[in-house]
Amino acid sequence: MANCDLLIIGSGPAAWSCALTARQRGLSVIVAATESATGWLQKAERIDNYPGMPQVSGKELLRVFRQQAVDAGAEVLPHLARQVMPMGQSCATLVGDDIVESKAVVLATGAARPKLLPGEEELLGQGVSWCGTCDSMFFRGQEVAVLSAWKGGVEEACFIAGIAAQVDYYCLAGHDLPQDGPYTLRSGKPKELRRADEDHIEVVTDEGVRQYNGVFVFRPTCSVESLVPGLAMDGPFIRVDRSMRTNVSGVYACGDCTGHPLQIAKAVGEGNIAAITASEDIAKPAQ
Amino acid sequence: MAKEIMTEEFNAFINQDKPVLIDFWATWCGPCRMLAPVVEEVSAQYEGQVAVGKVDVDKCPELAKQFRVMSIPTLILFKDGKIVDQKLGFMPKSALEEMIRKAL
Repeated sequence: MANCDLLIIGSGPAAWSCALTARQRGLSVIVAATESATGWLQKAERIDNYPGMPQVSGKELLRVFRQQAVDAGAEVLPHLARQVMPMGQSCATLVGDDIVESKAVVLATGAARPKLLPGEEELLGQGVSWCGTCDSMFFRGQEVAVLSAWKGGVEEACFIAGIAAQVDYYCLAGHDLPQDGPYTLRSGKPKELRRADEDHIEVVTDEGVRQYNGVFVFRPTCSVESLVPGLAMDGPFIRVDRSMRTNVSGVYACGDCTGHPLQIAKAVGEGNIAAITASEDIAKPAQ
Repeated sequence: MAKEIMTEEFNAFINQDKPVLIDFWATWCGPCRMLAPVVEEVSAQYEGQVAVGKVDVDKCPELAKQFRVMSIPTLILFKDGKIVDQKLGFMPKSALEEMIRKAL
């Protein structure tokens, strides 16, 4: 179990800005930052409206933001935050397979929302799983498919391959993939998950249908509603006040996940505000 | 305090004159470790009204199989030995309480 004052979930401008200000305010900071290959900013060739860094590329801007936060003392965990549990004076958050205990949590998860496959949610717990370490033992000696939208799926697939008899790997979105892993690469693009019979799930791809005992799906983000149960939303965005507080005590949000404009300057500003509000709330005596 | 239940005592445990909550878990499962203190809290709060048991799926794989548990943590609520509710994954205390209150 790791401990810190502030846990920040995200890897974009809001997250790094928040981390930087939180460090300047003397808070210990962990950033749960999955390196998503699909982030919009990673792909931006040139950014012309962020002051002070004319014509910078999205990739370079992110590199500088991150480096500055790390140099200021922010610790980075390259794992997916899966569940935040507010516990009164503190929050326990499941990051990868570890629990991070913090005084506050900042959500800076961006505007992209995971798009589930048809059938995925309905079959969850009935042969479909989002957690390799939790559920692979239920498929000991059986045939399993791994569907992954990011390179974190490779690590999970290697773990599962130590337990299951056969692992087939499908890419949901392009990512670096070692060819020599303990799995069979499948080229079809998954379109749907269906129940075949009591013990099998069908993976439907553009190249045909295959059956498995279990199907594991991995993505670099999870929906904020499943991340923080009871979080108030405004449509697809997290509801915050001007101090970046959400309706859940000890949980703050900033950046694209709080709504328009989806701009770097706005995200950086909100990250700064979230850090200041969180540090002030943490400093308040417990009621 | 949630009681650890083994396969041989399981049937007797779920056939009580009050609702019985069973937490299927394993030591290596992160979400299970997060849920454990919530289950303990609810167990203490509803002591006498609800019996709470824990099944380690590593020690009792046959129970996991019998109840088709393929993902943990899984919580199953029994009344008169029959399943009345089943929930998957971590949940906050309020959701767990709601699940129990419906069975009281």
